[in-house]
Amino acid sequence: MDRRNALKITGLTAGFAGLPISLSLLQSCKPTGNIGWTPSFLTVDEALQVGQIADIILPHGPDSLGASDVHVPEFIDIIVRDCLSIEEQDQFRTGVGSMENDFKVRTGTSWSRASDLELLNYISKIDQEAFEGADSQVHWTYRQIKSLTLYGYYTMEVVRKNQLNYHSIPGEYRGCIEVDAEALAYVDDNVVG
Amino acid sequence: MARANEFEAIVVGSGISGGWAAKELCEKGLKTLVLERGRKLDHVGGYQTAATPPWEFEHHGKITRRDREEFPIQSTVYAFNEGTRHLWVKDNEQPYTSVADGPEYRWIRGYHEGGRSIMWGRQCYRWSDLDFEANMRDGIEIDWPVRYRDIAPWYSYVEKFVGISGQSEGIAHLPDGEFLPPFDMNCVEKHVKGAIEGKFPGRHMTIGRVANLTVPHNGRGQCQRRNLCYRGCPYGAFFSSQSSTLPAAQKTGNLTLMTDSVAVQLIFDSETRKVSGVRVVNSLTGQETIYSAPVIFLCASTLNSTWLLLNSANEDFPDGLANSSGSLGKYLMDHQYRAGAIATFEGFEDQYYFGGRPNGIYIPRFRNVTDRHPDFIRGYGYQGSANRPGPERGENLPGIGEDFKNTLSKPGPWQMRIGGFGEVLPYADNYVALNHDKRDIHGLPTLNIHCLHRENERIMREDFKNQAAEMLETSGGTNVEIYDGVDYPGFGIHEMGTARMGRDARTSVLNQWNQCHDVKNLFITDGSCMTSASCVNPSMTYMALTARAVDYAVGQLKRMEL
Repeated sequence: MDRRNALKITGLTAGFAGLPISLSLLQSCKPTGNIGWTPSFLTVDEALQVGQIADIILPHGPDSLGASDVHVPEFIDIIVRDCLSIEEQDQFRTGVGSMENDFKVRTGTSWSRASDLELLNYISKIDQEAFEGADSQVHWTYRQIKSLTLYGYYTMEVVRKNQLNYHSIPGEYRGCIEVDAEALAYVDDNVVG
Repeated sequence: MARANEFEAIVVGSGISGGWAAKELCEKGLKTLVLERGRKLDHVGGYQTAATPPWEFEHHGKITRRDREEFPIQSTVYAFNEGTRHLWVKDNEQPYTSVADGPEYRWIRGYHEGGRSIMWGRQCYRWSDLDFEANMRDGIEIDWPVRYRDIAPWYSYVEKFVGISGQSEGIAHLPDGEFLPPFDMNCVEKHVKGAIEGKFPGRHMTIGRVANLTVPHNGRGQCQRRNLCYRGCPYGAFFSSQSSTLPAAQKTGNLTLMTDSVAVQLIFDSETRKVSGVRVVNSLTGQETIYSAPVIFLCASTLNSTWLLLNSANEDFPDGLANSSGSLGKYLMDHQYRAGAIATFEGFEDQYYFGGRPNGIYIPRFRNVTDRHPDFIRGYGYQGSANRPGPERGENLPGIGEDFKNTLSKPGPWQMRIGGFGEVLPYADNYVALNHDKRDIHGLPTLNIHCLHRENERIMREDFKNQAAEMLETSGGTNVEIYDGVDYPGFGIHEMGTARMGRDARTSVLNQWNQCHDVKNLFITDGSCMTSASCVNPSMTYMALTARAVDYAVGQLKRMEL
């Protein structure tokens, strides 16, 4: 390609340089939720919470899979483990905890006892605020989870092959083709880093 | 019978210039040794990720924390990701420094057979006399010792072999070449082309001229539009040393290619005033060997060729071999980019495209061509493209749930981005020097780089941002936004200069044949030879200069004049 990828949107994973590394890295997993897989970085509670958020952003639908169906929470666990800096990992952890606290402050209910509807309403509100300029750790962390959820989901084989117009070897380039409103987004094997 | 370490020609480097030197020397019958500092990288077989879909990468392509530690500079390149990381230099293993009072210099490198010809952007344009006469007309620094008429036949010669797709336009300062059929523009690009050419007299937009094959060419397959060039092309559908020049050289039976072989010093004979050979360190064993030949071509890349000359200083040339002029290491240039504009285009929702095109559009320079801009000299061109973003756009959009998912599975709104590539002037105090305090793994001195873009570049950059926005807006774009990333010198990956060509041995390293004024059997044909930088991508010019220099050198050899 040309150099359009040079214009990378950074920021979401830019982290907050200079903050101290907390001891949260040393937290042990609390075996409370049942997620059906073993996280390699997140605690089970964190993985459960991140998975719930991912499934609210991209739920299982009548004609399409949800985030957990295609193992997006596992993907996020690996990305947080390997791709974030130590400071960013710490911010991510703290942010996930902040969301839990924020939820309790706003609703009076603890995250672990919340109904699906309560979580949906909360995430809807956070999403709206985050894109109206709200600038708190809760909103930053939410956007990071959203970004990783979308990236992971749309780079999964089953999603790319069934829910997008995926071509590994298109063989030709046609610059102008007529499409209707139902046409799917064209994707290939390229990755952006 | 020649001894094992004696050849008829030696080429240092196997990238775009080195591959061409090897092909031309071998085809002219010379037993040629090519020294490559990096590892062996086989065509096709070496492209280990060429068919890997995103989900088969552990991180689906994303750059890891370890990548950022091992490749702090290289991992910032647009083409670096989990699918290409094995092609870039681990910065900490190949150290250099930027002088403390200047900006960080980003030296982007790939140390393997084929060099950066595996990861290049493949843009191929001819320079013109707007470029070759630039220093003379502006009265700055020294004049080029060549003109377009000298290089034009060599452009044709290399283009016919390389295979350049492009559209003839009849633009005097971006000369047409030997083109294969062009790639298509998409409908928004066609619309913007029409608007710009209609509303801005003297401005043009053409499809990018690239070394990607739209039809089979010289035994190589055509582009499959997979959008994976940077991982190496198993079809050989873009020009690289592996796909093109090295096989041609191999075919003659005259090529010896040695990888993991770092040229550390040129051996100079004080009596004959010639170089007799190259001292080489095997990077795996540390073993030193001297290889000799009657003619030597340096094609090690701009900064590494100059490093080799600096590290070959001797009693005759205490400031670096072939440096009687004192100009070696000076006048380091690049192209400045990473700034331009982006806009949304409405009214094309029923239009889309199919396939991954390996190029974009090009808007040739229009400043200081026929008129004279009051605030800066030289000019800039643009690269860009229009597209409809895929589901990745969702991270910047509000929304959740089933409807959001359905929206993201459809192509996004059309957007078009154009970014400037601006000429950087030659400055004597943009220079490299040996750093004896910081040594590499072989104990060799490294480079300290001082490079800084200045007033002319800054003013030009403002203009190319504003003109980008104006052209998009005039074309009917909405939400027009100017962007401007940090302009790190070197990050254009078009480093040029430091061993420039010129007519006068007192002010330049090389003559009009890329031959060292001081050392007649030593030629340098990579980017270090450039006297000015133009705003036009330089690789095609390195290829043409290399083929031309080999033709001259072999002629001189045959007449016993080297």
